[in-house]
Amino acid sequence: MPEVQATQDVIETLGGTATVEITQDVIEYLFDDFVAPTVQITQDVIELLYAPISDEPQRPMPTCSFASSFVPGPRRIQGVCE
Amino acid sequence: MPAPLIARTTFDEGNRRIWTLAQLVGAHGLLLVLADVDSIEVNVWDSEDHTLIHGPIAIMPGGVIFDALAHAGTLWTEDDIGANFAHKLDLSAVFATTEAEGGRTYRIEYEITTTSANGSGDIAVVNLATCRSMFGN
Repeated sequence: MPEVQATQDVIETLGGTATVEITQDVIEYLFDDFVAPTVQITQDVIELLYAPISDEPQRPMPTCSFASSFVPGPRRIQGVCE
Repeated sequence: MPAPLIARTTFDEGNRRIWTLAQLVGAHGLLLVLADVDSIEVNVWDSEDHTLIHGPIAIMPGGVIFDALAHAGTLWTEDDIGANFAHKLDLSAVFATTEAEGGRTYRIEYEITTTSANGSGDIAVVNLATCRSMFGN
């Protein structure tokens, strides 16, 4: 399953304020064809997401470190006894 | 990061084997094939006290990684496509020296090392197998 990798400081900075929507056609594409779309999040997107929405003190801006590659691993998994 | 996928299985003294099946994807974004895999190892841990019950045991990739998805409609019921990883663990070997305890959960953990050309490093496949509580144990 493809994933966007973000460093912990990015996650903590964004924490709880950003919603990522994946449309049905992307899901179908991923699950039916087993082919990876390339996802790229650029620095300007990070800055947009980071824009303060509360009175919290502004924390240091994270550096863009997203990768477009897959995190390898199981997409589905199942155990069966016999 | 999403929570890692982990299979959950319940077994009892009537079971002889536990299958772990998965659809594995490599760093290239495609289903893993045999040529992507260097080696596979399995360990079985007691999930509660973290002691190693069984392993490490080396597994020949050729017997458990499938270029063509397999077991659809039989063992694999997650979808009608099938799995590219399937291994059956012999419970008599796992619990040869330590008897399975009712109510206890054991972590069957496969570590799949992929080829450097693939560049994806290790893939973990985990099946949490709980021994069903029985009277008398």
